[in-house]
Amino acid sequence: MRRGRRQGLSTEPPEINITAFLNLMVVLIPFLLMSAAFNQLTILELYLPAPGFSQTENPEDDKKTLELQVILRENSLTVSDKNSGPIKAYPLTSTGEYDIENFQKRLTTIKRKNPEMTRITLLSEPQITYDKIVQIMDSSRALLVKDSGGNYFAELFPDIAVGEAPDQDE
Amino acid sequence: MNLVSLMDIFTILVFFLLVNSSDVQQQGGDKLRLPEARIEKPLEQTLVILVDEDAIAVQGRKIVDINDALMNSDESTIKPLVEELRYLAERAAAVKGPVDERPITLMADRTIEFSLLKKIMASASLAEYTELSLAVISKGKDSD
Repeated sequence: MRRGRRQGLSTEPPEINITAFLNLMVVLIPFLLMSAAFNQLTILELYLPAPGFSQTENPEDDKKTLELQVILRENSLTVSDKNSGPIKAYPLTSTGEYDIENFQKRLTTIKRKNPEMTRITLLSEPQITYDKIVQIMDSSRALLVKDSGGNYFAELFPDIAVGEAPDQDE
Repeated sequence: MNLVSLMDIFTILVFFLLVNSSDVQQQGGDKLRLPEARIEKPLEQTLVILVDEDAIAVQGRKIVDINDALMNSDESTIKPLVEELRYLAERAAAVKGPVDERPITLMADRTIEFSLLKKIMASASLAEYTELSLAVISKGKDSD
């Protein structure tokens, strides 16, 4: 027994010297950890009108089609049609945030009626922060559907244009 | 000393981090907090306009202070920004030849106001950058 073990020990390969490799790893890992991007950056695409683009388009073509607008104000969120006027206004919720849930429900209804429509115009008041604008863009772009088989996105209106909100009293 | 398992961990970690390291670094540091959204379209390598709490920078070079940009409230664009973008567009055209679509990415702090955003968009549009993308932090579709 004892003899066998001793024999086993003597046939074991000699340990390789890995100190240099270890040093390399110790330096590399903190460096890579520091430069690693932990939050994935993604992009929201916008299409800007070319300079000289006029707001007034041919009025005859626009009569029947729906031109969806979202008007973002300090105290409300309004879904509206450019040609026929406001559809529905959502005041802030009790927590002081935009009523995204009902807003998305309304957009889903509109999308169901007009499945080929992808354009929406976001009109914002000047003092609205970028964070809120992105939030509204995100919610008008797609609806997150929670499903037992995993969450997925239902497309709403991904072609977003941006503009300035008209005055309140108009 | 048996270091084999430690070596294994290190090797896997190094490969993981190397693969995961993105080309586009988050710039700006503490002053720049991007907004969040549930989007999965990855960031592309384009010209970047960086807007933090106090300045506007293009490709990492500071162009104008926010306060200066907002001061001329009667102007609809930011003049130094337009000039810089035009210059960069000219230079890119000289190297690569003319292109139809010129994309640009805006990395802006979440606290900036729409009035500033509008000016930046108008400036980009005036400099004939027609495709503007807004960089955001992905929340992913599985979060909350």
